[in-house]
Amino acid sequence: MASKKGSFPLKRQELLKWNGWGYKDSMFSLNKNGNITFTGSRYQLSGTEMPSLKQWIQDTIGVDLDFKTPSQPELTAKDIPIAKHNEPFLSELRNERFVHSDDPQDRLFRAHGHTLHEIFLLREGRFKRIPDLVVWPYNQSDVERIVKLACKHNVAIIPFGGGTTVSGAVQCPDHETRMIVSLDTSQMNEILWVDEKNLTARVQSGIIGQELERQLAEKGYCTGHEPDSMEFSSLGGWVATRASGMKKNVYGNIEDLLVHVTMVTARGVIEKSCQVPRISTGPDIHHFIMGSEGIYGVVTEVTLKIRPIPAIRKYGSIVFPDFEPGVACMREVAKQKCAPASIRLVDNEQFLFGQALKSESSSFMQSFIDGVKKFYVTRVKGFDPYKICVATLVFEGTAEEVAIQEKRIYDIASNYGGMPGGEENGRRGYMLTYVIAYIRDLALDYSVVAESFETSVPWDRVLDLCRNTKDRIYRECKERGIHFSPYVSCRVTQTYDAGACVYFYFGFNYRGVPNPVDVYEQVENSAREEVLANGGSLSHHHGVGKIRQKWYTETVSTVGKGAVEAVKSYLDPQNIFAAGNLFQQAKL
Amino acid sequence: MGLQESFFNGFNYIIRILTEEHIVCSNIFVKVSFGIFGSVCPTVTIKDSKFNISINMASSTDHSDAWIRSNVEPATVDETFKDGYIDMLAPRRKQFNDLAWVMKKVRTPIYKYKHERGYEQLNRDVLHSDRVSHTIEKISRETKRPLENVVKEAEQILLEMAHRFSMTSVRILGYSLIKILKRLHDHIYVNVQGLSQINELVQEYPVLLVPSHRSYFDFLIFSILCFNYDLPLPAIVAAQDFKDMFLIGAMLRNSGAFYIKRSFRSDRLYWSIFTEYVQTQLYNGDHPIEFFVEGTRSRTQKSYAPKLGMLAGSLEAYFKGLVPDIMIVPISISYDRVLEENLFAQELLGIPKPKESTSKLFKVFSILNENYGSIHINICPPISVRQMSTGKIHRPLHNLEPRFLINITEREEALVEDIGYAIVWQQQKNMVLSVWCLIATVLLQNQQGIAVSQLTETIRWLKSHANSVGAYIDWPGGMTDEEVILSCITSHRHYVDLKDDYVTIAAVEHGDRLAKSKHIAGDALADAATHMVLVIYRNQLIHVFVPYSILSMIILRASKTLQILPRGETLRLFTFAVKLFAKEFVLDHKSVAQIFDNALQVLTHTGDVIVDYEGSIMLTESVTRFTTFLSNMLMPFVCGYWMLCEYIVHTTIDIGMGKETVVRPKELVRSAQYFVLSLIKEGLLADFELLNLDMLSNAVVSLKHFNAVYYETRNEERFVAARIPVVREIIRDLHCLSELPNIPEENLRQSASTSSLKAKL
Repeated sequence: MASKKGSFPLKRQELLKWNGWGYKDSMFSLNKNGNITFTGSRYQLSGTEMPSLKQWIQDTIGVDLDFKTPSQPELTAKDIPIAKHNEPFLSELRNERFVHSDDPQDRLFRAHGHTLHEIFLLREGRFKRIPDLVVWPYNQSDVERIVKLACKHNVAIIPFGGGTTVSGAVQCPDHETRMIVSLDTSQMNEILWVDEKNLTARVQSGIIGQELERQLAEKGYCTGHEPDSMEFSSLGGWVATRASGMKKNVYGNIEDLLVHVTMVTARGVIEKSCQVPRISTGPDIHHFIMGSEGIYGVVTEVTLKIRPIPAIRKYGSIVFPDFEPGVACMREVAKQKCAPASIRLVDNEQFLFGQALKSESSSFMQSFIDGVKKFYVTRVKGFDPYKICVATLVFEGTAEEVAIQEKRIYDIASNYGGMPGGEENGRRGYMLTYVIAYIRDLALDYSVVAESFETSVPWDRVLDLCRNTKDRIYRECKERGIHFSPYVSCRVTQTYDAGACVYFYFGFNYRGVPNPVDVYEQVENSAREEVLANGGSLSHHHGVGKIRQKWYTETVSTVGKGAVEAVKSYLDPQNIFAAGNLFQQAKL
Repeated sequence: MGLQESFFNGFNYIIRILTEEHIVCSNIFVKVSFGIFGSVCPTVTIKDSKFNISINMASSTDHSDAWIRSNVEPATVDETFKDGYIDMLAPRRKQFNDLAWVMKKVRTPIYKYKHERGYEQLNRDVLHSDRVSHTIEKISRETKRPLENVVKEAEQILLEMAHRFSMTSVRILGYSLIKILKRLHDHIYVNVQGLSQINELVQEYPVLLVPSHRSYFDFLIFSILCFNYDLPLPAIVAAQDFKDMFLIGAMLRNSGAFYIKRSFRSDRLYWSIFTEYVQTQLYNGDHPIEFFVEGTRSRTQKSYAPKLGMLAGSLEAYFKGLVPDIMIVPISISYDRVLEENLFAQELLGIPKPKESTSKLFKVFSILNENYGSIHINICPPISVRQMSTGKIHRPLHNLEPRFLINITEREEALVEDIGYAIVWQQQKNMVLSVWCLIATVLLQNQQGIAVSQLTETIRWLKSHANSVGAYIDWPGGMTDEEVILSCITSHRHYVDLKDDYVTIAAVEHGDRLAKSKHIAGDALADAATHMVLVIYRNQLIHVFVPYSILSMIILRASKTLQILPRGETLRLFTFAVKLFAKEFVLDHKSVAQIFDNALQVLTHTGDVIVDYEGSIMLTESVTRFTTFLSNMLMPFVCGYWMLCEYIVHTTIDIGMGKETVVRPKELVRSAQYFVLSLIKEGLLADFELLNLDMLSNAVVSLKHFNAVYYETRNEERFVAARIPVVREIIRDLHCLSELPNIPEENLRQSASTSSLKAKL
């Protein structure tokens, strides 16, 4: 069966990398001039040569371009675990003519998300347990029938959307002895209807973010939900992990956008009887569907709020002399509740990285300053390039609205020593968000392991959390005998009334370290401990999955976990949805 | 000097010590080359982060190409640099221009997150902090006092507390201090590695500097050192006693001292201002903060158990995630000769401590216008609070309250205590011991006197034993052992007599203050004071031997009646002794068994104790010179504690009828001292050290831990009462520890009753 335009094909590995991030055609690579380029034609950056990037990775991470650690060749059938077959289930599945596959490559693709651990396994190792079958439902009734069959034959189901998870959520539990079915929602990708009176749209859960926005745009609408993974992540995944979008200041996070949701569980379908803006009917069932990470059931359809596409989208940036005033400014903006659609503060490390991605061969500081020149050339001189931080901004609305917003933000910024840094620097900042995900694959080619992690934290602790976590990572790396100084960088990506979301990138050159992933995980665990000790949360939007389970009980209290467990045991007594996220589910 | 330098420019040597390893390998070179050009001054400069030490020397005579200079004296060690210690005073002696030195440009490394602010801004930040304003508001609300009123009080508290650090004051003070130091001391040594360590630490983390505290000089010696080596000058926590001293009080304040009350836990406002004041300085890294964890100068010259208030107040900043870590740097400051030796000795005997006053301090200076040998400042490896906390505390517990509310968990409190002890142990371990300590120790065991030759032999023997258990003794090179000892005796001639090659403890005329002392009279006390001076120097060394001493003592005692001592019983007595002397010797009471095993192992290793295959100790073979010596070293303590017990037992019987005697703790200690004194006069006791009030009052505290005495509060005053059966038990165990003097019951009773009467008068 063929796929519709704009959605993932059944064989995703034909479009996407089997062992890395994103499209097969897009990657950082070393060209014949010895410079790093970005391939393909998909992104603004595609086809450009980045002369400073090579120097940057050598200086900052200690990368030696002669020291390559390439991935193993694409795995073949013999390297992939043999599928377990539950014959009665399979024969009923065939009888009902569901599209399915037990092709090793199809199964392998759905065995993982994008944590470092998983990607490293793809590049250098083997998975112990992968799904035994991939099934593609096309609508809710398909899902209901598949789940029923699974219950009947005691087959485990792990829902699979965009596959961009960074919490290990789609990984198969090693100890699962039953047949595991990966329920791939990618073919449930239609917008069922758009209600222009109420500004809502009913959408199937398998739709991918960029496709959702593209299709709505044809009608002049958008949801405004733009998580960094929106090129690949699915609506169902957003609901299941409590996703957050870059422009949440205008449109809200997924919990604000969601008007109605339908989830198929082992017990049957769970949903509300109305599509209303608010409701007072006891604990909100939406709130245990959201964030359930595939252990309660599978999200099939969602009603989302939509908005007319704004007349203007304008980028902007503010340059701060240091991280500290930057944070103070963010706090003030939150206090005055005047945040534009997006406001993000990147630290100096990330700012320098952004500059290194520039295509001009001139010194990157120079090109940065050129961008700023128009505004306050003289004032720049007081800034230390190795302390500078940049806040990137997205304004949306009518021209007048945007002008008012801009003035207000830049006025506040000037009180904190910040000055406008131009549109171009803002645009670059956001472009970087999409591209930075690709850089890890390049890093891995040169013995650098890297990952991101995030948290949310009260305002008064933002600065301390950033400092302390960075320090912790430097120390842990040193104590573990990593020869090269790690790269640690953070950015404040969301502002709220009571706090902020902080996003970290962290990587190190593991040359000379025998077990880089173990060491990496130890360091990351320490970093997480540090985050928690500094008043941060276990996760702002990535979720718990498997890799953060260790801290789940502590985070929600024993009783809290018990309550979540109780819901699970009612909805799914057989543990059909056996992904094992949030906490270790009791074995049957 | 300047001329010489330029003239012999060609012979300039620059030794760059960049790293630890370099220090080790260049050590020999340094020693040798200094040996030759001892007369030439090395100038030491420390450059910021790389911490280069360059030592420039100009040769005055040598023109040959030989690698080793021709006029070398192979057997001497240069005094300006040895064993990793560098003499801070040497350049100051050679370059007569101290004025240029105090006016030098100081460029110190700074904490990476520091925002420059003066003390006025610091004070404003404290007053306007969330913590202090919250407390002010709360107090105003609860006590219905007007807000401005409480704010005024807060301002007043802060004004009295805060330092007014200014570089100018430091320079002025530094100028006079360097003159004084040069006059009093031969050398001020500091370990080079420690300097470079501090240089690195202060840039990365907030730093607490925690020196041992055995003299007034501790206050400023480290600041002068920091000034000299371009390290950031510390803010120093000082007790309020100093605050009101004319001139000195203000001078110290201007040099970075800030004053805190000794006890203020109940004063919420004070506590919150103090905490904020300390934590904001840690957070911003304005200065490293220096404080004395022992709380007060150690009169006995032994380490005191740590006081935890300041430490807890600082560490809270880490517990609540204000700072990534706090680096605690213990510092051992050892004095060849303590300025206050006489004062301390007299205080220990009960002459009341004079109120700190400037005129008295100057008097001390003028009276003691003589040589005080060297000071060794040993900067110990840092203790990382983060590392110490790993697995012991759970910091997220603080997530549910704003961080300005003061609270630390029980586990954190326990950790603070552990860290406090770790600091004191580090200080102790890194003390530099003088030859005089050894002499004092030997003399106290030979109170009738000792021939120089025998003394020399004993010292040599003791020194090797001390070395083998990890003590560092500052032994001058280039002299025979006898010369070393004789020169040491000469510089301490006030306390020892040397006649016809025979050394005795001197009988010294003491000041009139002693005679005026209310409750103690008699010539015996003059001798006692001399004796006490020796005691405090022995105390500088005693920590090295304590575990071995306890074990030796048990062995020696048992050997009188038994052949074999089973391990279990030995450990029991050992544990008893460690607990009993908890206030005397800062040992890890949580791991006594480990200390015991270690002690047994060491003594077995030196061949002094024979252990059979079952772990029992073969007693007859374990009485050696060393075990005897060790045992004797501890004897006064056992005896002193015993005396206190006997006194309690006898006075309680006096009152009788099962009624417990109730007495003020101070009175108890004083009358016990009378009790000892009268027994000494009767010739039944011989050791003056038993008159040590510090020891007797420690004994009371210790008895309380054993529940042998308890405190009762009547009319808001504290009294001690005894549980006689428990005291008797302790006496029994004391007899098991050591063979105590045989004093007839009649004499004990007699002396006890007269002493208790006397104390009441």
